[in-house]
Amino acid sequence: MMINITIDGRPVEVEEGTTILNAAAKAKVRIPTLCYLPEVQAIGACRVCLVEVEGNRTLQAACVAPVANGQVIHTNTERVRKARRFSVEMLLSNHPFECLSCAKNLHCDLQSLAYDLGIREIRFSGEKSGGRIDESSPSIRRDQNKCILCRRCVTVCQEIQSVTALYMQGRGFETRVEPAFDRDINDVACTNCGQCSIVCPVGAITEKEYIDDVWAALNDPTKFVVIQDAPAVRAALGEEFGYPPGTLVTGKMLAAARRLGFDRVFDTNFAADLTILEEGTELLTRVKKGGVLPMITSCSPGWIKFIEHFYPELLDHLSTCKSPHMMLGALAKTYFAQKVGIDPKDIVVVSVMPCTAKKFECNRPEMYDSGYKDVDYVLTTREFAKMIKQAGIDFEGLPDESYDDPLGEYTGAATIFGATGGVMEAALRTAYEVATGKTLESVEFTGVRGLDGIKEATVPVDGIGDVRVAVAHGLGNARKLLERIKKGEANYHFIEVMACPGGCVGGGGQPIPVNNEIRSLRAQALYNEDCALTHRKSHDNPSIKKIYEEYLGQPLGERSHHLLHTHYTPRSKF
Amino acid sequence: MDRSVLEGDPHSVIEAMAIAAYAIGAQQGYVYVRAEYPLAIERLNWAIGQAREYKFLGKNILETDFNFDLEIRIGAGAFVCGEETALMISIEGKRGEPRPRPPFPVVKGLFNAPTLLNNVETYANIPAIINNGAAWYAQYGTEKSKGTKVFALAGAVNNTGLVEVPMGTPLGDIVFNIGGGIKGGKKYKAAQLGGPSGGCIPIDHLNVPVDYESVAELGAIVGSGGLIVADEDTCMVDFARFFLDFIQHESCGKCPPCRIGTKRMLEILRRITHGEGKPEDIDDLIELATRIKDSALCGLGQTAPNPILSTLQYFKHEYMEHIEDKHCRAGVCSALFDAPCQNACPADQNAWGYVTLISEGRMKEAIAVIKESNPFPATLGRVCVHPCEAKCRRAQIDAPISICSLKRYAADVDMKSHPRYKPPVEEPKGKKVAVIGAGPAGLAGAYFLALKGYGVTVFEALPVAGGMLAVGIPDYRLPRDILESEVKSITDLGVEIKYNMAFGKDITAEKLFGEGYSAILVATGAHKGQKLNVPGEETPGVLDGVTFLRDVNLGKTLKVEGKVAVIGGGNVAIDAARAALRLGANEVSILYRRERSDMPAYVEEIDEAENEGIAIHTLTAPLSIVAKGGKAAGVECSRMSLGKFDKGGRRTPQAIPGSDFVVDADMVIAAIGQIPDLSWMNGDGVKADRAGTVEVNMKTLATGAAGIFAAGDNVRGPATVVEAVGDGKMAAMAIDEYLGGDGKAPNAFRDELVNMVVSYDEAAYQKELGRADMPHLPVSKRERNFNEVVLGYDERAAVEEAKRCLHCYVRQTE
Ligand SMILES: Cc1cc2nc3c(=O)[nH]c(=O)nc-3n(C[C@H](O)[C@H](O)[C@H](O)COP(=O)(O)OP(=O)(O)OC[C@H]3O[C@@H](n4cnc5c(N)ncnc54)[C@H](O)[C@@H]3O)c2cc1C
Ligand code: SF4
Ligand code: SF4
Ligand code: SF4
Ligand code: SF4
Ligand code: SF4
Ligand code: FES
Repeated sequence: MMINITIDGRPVEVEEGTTILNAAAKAKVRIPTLCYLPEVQAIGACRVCLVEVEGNRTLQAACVAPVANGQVIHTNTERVRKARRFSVEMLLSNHPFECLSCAKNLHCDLQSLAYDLGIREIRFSGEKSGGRIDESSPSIRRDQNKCILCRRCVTVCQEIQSVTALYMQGRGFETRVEPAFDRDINDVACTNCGQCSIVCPVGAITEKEYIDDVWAALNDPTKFVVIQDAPAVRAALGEEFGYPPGTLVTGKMLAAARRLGFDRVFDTNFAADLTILEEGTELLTRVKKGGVLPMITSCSPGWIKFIEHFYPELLDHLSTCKSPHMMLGALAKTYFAQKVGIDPKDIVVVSVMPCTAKKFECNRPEMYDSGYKDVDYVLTTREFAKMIKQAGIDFEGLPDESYDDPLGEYTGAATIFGATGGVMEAALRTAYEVATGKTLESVEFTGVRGLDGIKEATVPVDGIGDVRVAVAHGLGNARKLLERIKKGEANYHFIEVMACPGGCVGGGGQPIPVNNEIRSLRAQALYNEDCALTHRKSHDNPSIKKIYEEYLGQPLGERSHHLLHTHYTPRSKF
Repeated sequence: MDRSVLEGDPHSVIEAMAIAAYAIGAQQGYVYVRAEYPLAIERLNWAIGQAREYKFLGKNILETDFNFDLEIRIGAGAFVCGEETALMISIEGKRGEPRPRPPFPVVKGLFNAPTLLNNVETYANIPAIINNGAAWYAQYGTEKSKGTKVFALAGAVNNTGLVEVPMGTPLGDIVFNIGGGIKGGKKYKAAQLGGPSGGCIPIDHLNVPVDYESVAELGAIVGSGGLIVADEDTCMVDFARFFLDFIQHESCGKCPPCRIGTKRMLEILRRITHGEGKPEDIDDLIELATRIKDSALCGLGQTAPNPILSTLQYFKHEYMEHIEDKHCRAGVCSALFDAPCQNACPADQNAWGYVTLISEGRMKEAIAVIKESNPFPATLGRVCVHPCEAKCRRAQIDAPISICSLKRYAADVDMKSHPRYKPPVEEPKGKKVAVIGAGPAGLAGAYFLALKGYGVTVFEALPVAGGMLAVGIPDYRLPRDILESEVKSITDLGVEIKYNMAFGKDITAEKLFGEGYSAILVATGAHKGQKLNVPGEETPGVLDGVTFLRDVNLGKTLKVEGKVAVIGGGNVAIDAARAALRLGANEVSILYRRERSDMPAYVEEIDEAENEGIAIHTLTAPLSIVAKGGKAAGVECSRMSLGKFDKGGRRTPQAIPGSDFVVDADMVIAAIGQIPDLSWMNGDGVKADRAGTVEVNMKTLATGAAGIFAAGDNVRGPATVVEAVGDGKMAAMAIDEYLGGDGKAPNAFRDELVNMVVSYDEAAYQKELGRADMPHLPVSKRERNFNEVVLGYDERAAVEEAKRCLHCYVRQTE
């Protein structure tokens, strides 16, 4: 039902139940917010969005207060301005002023809010609640001194990811966001998904930066530094340089990588195609030989850690395939090293990923199959952008360049890996043709695309019958599927799980902000590229054919098994 | 109070909840109890069991198709879980913290279901109301606040505990009738109503009916019925800090205004109570308080600033004293002083210093310390009201140190020694100061001015020095030779006293300035007796108290015989009564319109008067003087009852109609108060204020006229000797500063004393070694003479007594 209200003297008609914040937006009034994050939380905690509602004794938090018919709302009175400013002043009175050396400098909501509200003097000061810097995780860095207790991270971790690695501890001035019993984040069931670092409005949770290590490798003349990037990176990196979300900047990105001094520029997509062959074969084998089903994808290391912690009893459902960039790392230090005659000990593999969990993954003890650390460093999209800026590269002015052989060629199937449902779609394209020997007429399985939390599809495959598949993104959705598997209610053959909502396009290392609109735009960019490519099925990739001929033999063969597959470690929930 | 309902009558709550559930169609109820109340939980559990047995709970209650059951949820005792949304979230098993409303619980509450949420006390009323009807309940209370309310009466009252009163009962009745008044005869200062986020109600509002509206008008709340009474020993800044400290720790931490704002306020209050307050702190506190109230998420934060706002409203002066004077009148904020005894002394007498020295047998040094701030130790050792003892910490163990009598002991020792102690005098400054009035204020001023190197002349209207000490206080309390000897120690410093010189008549300010005096200190006291304003007051045989005492003291031969009635309850009344007895009266009675505990005279003096056989008629007020043969023959009196509280917190006496009676008396002495005689004022810039006292700046005692200062009773109205001495000192320092000096009072011993190592006397510390009594002259030996009644300590008793001191000035080094 539509109702009528007045905002700052102007009549507005809005749907009943709308929040004052959204109603105001309709009236073209911007109310500042801080703890509020659409799609994540509206809890009225930070008291920055206060407005005055006639007849109400107290000021109302616009982000949560629903409008009521006939309401008269003022968003810019003296009282409102003072109250909003006061909330931010209180935060500032308890904040370290380290902007100049802060990872979020110029990208910080608190900073811009202080500016917008016209705070020009620090009126209140006193003891600071302080907090610790938790560097225990290889993926995220928590600087609790900077935390403003907006709780976005807690909500994301608990309600979207269903992990609850972080929670509110203590009360009053001692309140802090910490893992249970103030343990280090690396000692609890954190999946390293980095979603918290995406939502944190300040510099309290950021990705653990490895930029300096990468600079050191690049500056070391004895090192041969190889870079690879995941598909979701090219669909988002542009945002850091002012491009609208959904702009593919592949060519400029590669040009930038060369200018930064990387010796070879490879594409994780190559390994994605490889994954499809390995995983597809694994699936067909399981189906035919009666292996553990449903089989679940394994290319999202946040997801892997999640299942290891919370459902160790279901680990057999996981595909044994490594994530694509780990496969590429292993091949770079074996296949490629041999090919160019470089001692693998001198090769440094740097992965640019949309993901913070891969920082953890590359340090797993299982990831030394080349005899060396398969991937040396993982940088997020955000870090890579920082490097480009640090190097003074004029990104916009760069020419478009392309990937290096032999690990640079890819198909449309690989590139859609970056969006939720992409792996499934790619796998279906290959599995169908391999199993049936027929050519797919339409390669697009749109049923597994989009941002629904759990998607299901059934594909009739000659000789097998109906192949039932499901796709989940975001760990909360994954948990729901796993519960169904546990109860025996999920008779799927194959499930794709991505730890981050939207898949890698919404990964924990992606440019901020991330929301559903941006996720869709980035995904669309990948689907568009898929459409435009000649090869859209992984098994059609000439370089893939070549590597099997030259080096690997066949999917699931001896070498593949050694370099491209892995095993998992049961972990505890606590 | 909820706890005692659950412990005492859990069935009432169960019954009420079942009724409420029936009314709204609920099937499940919860009782949220803090884990700290195991007895309440046990009894409620037991009562729920019984109710189920009788089918008052469970399925098909009373054979109907109504089902309802109860479950107890035990909370961890967080204050914020009293907030309804936090309470529900806690029942749901989550971290207890509030959420914004709407949605309100009635729409979407516990487990997202519509929820009726009430307090235990509220529910407990329901069965009674249903049984007796709404009209029955509504007969209690006021127009808008119906029924009764339970208060948890606590703090400085004699009777603490839970009290249930009709809404609208005056606060004073709760405190004084039910609470039995303030413990230890101390003075009421304020009552904190509504718990830690309520507000305080000061003494001038004791008549406030305790109902929601009236209390809210004063800035407090009824709230959960917490009622904490604070007496004069409570520092209101510390009081506010205490509550804020509590609230600050109970903040759930969800929203910045409360989480950080209350911390900032607390920091400011801590600073102020530590003597580090700044003038702008008050504005900051008000700004923080206003903003927090406006922007906090839940009721806890929105009300957290209340104790500060309300103490600022009524006790801003205490804040200012902490900030500007670094003084805590209640003696609570210990960072502001060395020991509570000294802090309480109007003359800033270093009590702990001389007490400690006496305990070590170092009498000579003791007198030096005393004389640093007090030229009248022998006098004050006898007649001082000793506010120091009221704050002495030893009282928390047994009884306060006899600080006053120890001073008398040291002074008496000094008086007998040769040479007597003479304080160091600064280099002559070559300037002259005139002092008007040779009372304690004037002479103390003269003394300190002399110490500072000024030439001082005192002009006194009477032929004797000492002011009220000489012509007010009778000899049996202060022997004349003692006073004279103290006056001599002042003149020995070069101070000259000119007698029979009345200011305004024989000399004027203009003349004095003309004679080369650079400044004038006017200390003319309060000597005019107040009129009774009853018919027959002019009848011969009716005297006023001060005149009577002056005549007695100046040796006029007065015939006193038969029956004497003294009207009044102050020191003048008691002194007049006891003097009349000594002069030959057969029967002396004191008529006082309030109760004995209200008498302004010192308890010791009242006790002695009664010991000597003087009858005290309280709740008795004069209506007229009965005359016979042109002479006073009695006082027609009325019995009084006590009604409403006045601004000072005392109940106003009112005549009981038809209760008149006559007290026979051949002599009637009216002693109901004195006012200063300011007839010397001649429009030269010195002004009187509305109370009829001299208008001064209370920090410098400077009057409106340049170079003229005033001190003592003519500034304060009838007060005390020690205040007069303190004033004299303060005025002397202000004059010194005015004349270009440093204005610093002598303070040579403090640092050494603070660090003094004392011989530790375990017995005195550990045992409840009671206070040593002062020997008294037996009543039989007091007849018809003015011999001193209170005799002094001997050395052994003095040292023993001094050893009881706890050395409050010794600080733990941090
Ligand atoms: C009966 C009685 C008992 C008391 N008992 C106690 C007690 O036990 N303990 C206690 O602490 N307090 C007691 N007090 C109060 C205490 O005595 C006074 O507060 C104190 O004396 C005030 O000192 P003062 O110097 O201000 O005034 P006063 O002592 O009154 O001295 C003022 C002096 O100025 C003189 N004077 C007045 N006008 C002129 C003029 N125009 N020109 C020149 N000289 C003038 C007066 O004659 C007098 O000598 C008592 C008071 C009374 C009346
Ligand atoms: S978090 Fe924001 S406000 Fe805080 S130091 Fe970093 S940039 Fe500055
Ligand atoms: S990285 Fe992911 S799992 Fe770990 S704390 Fe952040 S949101 Fe939670
Ligand atoms: S760490 Fe960041 S997201 Fe989490 S509560 Fe603190 S400021 Fe908010
Ligand atoms: S006002 Fe205080 S108690 Fe209430 S929600 Fe905010 S922080 Fe928590
Ligand atoms: S115990 Fe001693 S130091 Fe403490 S208040 Fe009493 S007299 Fe003063
Ligand atoms: S944005 Fe509304 S309270 Fe934080």
